[in-house]
Amino acid sequence: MMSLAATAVIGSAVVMTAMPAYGDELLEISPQFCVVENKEQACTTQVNIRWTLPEAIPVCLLENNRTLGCWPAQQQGGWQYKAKVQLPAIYSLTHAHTGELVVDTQLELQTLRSSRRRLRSVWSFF
Amino acid sequence: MRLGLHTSVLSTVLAALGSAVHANEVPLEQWHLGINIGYGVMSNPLHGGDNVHLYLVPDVAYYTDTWYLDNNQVGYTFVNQDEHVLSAITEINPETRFFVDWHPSNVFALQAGSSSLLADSPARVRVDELDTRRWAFDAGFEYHYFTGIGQFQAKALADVSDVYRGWRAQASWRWGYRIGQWVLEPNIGINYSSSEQNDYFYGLSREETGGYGAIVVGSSIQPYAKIDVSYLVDEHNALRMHFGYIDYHTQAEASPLFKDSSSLTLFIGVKHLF
Repeated sequence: MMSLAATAVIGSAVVMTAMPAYGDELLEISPQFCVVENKEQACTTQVNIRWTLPEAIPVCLLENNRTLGCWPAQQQGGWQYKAKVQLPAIYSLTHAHTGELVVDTQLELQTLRSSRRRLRSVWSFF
Repeated sequence: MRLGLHTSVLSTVLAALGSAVHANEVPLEQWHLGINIGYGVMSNPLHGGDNVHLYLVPDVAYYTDTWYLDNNQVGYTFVNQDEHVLSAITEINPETRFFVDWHPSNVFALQAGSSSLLADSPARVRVDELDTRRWAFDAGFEYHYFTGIGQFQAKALADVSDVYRGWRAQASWRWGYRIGQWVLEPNIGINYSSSEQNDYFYGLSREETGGYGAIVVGSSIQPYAKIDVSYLVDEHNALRMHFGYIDYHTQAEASPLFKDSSSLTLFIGVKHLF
């Protein structure tokens, strides 16, 4: 489906293939964005992840390099859990034996903050 | 362009409710345009240097979630937490302000003049007889630590404009108090000037001493204290008073350019936020 590093919207999910080693792989996450008050705040939300691969291979699912689980060779899979993660969070599928990246996608950040501290005084120069 | 009217003059203040300083809040991606109108003066401690008269002091800021422009500083904030803020910054080096002809028609760093008189009197020279002290741009990092009783700020910058080829640093503490419509913001701190900065601005080259040999100043620290006092008239207007003191004792002992060992700033006027 995607042969180049790209971003596409499928339903509510952003799918990214960073270094496609297999081609036609698909990794979907929902929700696509997590809204927090400020960007330092961790995102706590239920995350649903589904993937489809062109061939059955054993894979591991990682959240920011933390392994969430591994599965024996299969073409499709899914995982859902309550995430508490610092954003932006990268979810990736890697080959369970070689560690090679298969596909990844990102849970992106949106903040509610509309203002921030001012750091200087007009009199700083004088 | 939307202006942050409601954070406006109050932005200087609302954060200071009670006896705690919470730094001013500015709306993201909106221009903050204000002007201080009144009269003030910053005394020039150098022989022959103009006092800096202050009639209009603009206040310009624009913040995004990460980047910001705030008067003479541009920054990129890496860490923006409740207590800790860390930014990469670049700003105009302020030391040249004492070498500028501040007449409105002639605002530039003073140009080279004759230094022949120095052969007769090398102990005391005038800034308008020296080679140009150019404006410099510095870059570095700034850290803020916000507490319930005030904020600590520290920064270190190096010359990136190949002017004085040195560095400088600053550490300060700032409080904020609100009493009715009055807002008081005292600020104390110290500046560190490297020997390269001091020698460039306040030292004398061999040519400037008329052949007597260069005068070097060495590194120094300058304690300072400032206070801003505001009286809130409404959300767009406030009466403002600023008083500042910077100690140049160390430089004044080493450099014949100084006639005073300190500089005072006083401004009284009004602030209007557009």
